[in-house]
Amino acid sequence: MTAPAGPHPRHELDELLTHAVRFSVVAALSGVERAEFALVRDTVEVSDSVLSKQVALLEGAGYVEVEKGKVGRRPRTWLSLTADGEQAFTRHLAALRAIASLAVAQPAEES
Amino acid sequence: MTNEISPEAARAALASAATTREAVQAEGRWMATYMLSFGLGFGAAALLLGLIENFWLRMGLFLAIWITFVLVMVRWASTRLASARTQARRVAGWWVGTSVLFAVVLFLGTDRFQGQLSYWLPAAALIAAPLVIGGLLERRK
Repeated sequence: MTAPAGPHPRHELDELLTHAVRFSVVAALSGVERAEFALVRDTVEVSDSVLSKQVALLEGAGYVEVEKGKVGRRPRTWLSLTADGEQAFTRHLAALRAIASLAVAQPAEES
Repeated sequence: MTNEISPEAARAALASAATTREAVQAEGRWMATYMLSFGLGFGAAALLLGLIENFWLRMGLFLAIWITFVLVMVRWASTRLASARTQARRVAGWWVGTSVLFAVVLFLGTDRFQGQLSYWLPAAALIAAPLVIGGLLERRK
């Protein structure tokens, strides 16, 4: 068996984005300038409280920006990905692609 | 997801990210409709201003219809749930194009060609063209 050429690509995964909901939130925001809280909640299929909690963590890490405003009399919360968040997501995706391209390990021969 | 993620799990995560991204992006593709509506609106406004000969009637009708139209469109845009990336920068030229043509056509045609369909019909099409073309291009993105 030959040793791998470098460190396993899992080391390149972003710790914060290894959480499924946070990963989905960042994926949802990655293709738009900004998106409304309710749209992200419905797309990611989580409750308001779960999304609030995960967005707070992403905001704390500087990955997501939260902007509150009003449309008419309705309060609105807009979420957007920061430059740091975008970079982290890009690195995380690259690591996932590297892992996805790894050959499935062959089971050891039974003696 | 854990640090011991398998290749299969990584592939599933990538596929899920692509689906989620696309779903939200789809909500941000409203600018095409907005541009097409304004393109046709500017063209119709030019026709109204050029074909009605009575000054007070055309100004009254123009202001009433245009203000209502703009308010409805702005309200509609403000209720969209996502905005596409670099949208403002990408579409600014089309908006400037229609606005400048609107001003030029009105400057050249008002009074001189008042009520003449042969001037105002092609002029209206010319005014609408930048936003309609921009809207159609935006829709294809």
